[in-house]
Amino acid sequence: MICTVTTSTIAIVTSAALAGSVVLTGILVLLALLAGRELSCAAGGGRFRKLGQVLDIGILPLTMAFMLVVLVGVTKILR
Amino acid sequence: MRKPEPLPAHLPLPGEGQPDEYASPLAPGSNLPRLLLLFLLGVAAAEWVTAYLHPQAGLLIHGALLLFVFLHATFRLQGPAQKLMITLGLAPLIRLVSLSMPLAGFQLTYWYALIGFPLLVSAYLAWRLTGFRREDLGLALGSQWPLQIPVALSGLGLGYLEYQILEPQPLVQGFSLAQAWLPAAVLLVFSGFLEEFIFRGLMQAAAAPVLKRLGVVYVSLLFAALHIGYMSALDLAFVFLVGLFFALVVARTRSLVGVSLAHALTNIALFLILPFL
Repeated sequence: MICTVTTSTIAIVTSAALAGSVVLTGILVLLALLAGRELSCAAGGGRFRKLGQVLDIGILPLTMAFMLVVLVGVTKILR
Repeated sequence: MRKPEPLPAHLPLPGEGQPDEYASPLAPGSNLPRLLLLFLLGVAAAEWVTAYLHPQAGLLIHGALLLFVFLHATFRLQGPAQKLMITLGLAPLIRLVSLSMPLAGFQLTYWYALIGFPLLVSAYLAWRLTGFRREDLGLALGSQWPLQIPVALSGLGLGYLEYQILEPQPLVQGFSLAQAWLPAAVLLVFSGFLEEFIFRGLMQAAAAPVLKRLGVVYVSLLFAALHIGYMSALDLAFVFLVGLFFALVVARTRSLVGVSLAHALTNIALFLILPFL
């Protein structure tokens, strides 16, 4: 159940051949968030500065996911 | 040399201290109820598309929802409505993070930790930004602490009921303490505590001043919507009722302790005990 907010759908997706493209979609969303953050920094002003702080809520975990993707990729190559 | 200024207890949100556009969000003419309904339907649709049609499309809908709530919270809302919208962003974020992780090479047990840790960081950032006190989020034992014991133990019964519905594969090869302690600890922290902190802690605390009594129903519906991926209507109904039960317990006791333990025990029974009985 309940656990499983985090893992409900992913068992299907992760095991399928489309896992790579799903990860890519997540990276696209991360890029959109990062672009939003850059624009908000460039715009300046109170609300834009705060937008950057709000976007960080999404940017940080997706960056961690991206770093893991890179780490797993590098590990595969080194093996 | 100047001393560095200490960090504020919470970062002031845009418009904080100013009159709130949605101070009475349920008042006639307010757009917020419609917006919240659309968001709920959007999350449900994104989950449905992810599970049944096209995972990438579902994920893109989640991404669009995330951007929408963050932009809307920053530029259109103030005060409690803004806090609610920021915390609601954690719902699409859960799916975005869980599907963006390269999990295939890892044991199932570690999936919860790999997904849960970044979400814990996000939840912390949302907490900091919204400025709730620990007591607001139920991060305390509460005055009715003896009630937490039966609440926590209810998790075993809930786990049994859910096992009858889903009959999932176990997380470990066999039933022994040596094999089960680490998965149990992972489930305790990254499913029990984390998910209760997000839904019954942050979202419920943010929903209460905006939606009043409907807040617990709304958060429970959102919680259930994120279980559409299990592809079981019965499980959806079960999860909604359990979410509602947990929400009412937290509203009454103002503590996440009992429900976090119950949530963890449900999953420990479901994935570590019942498959071997």
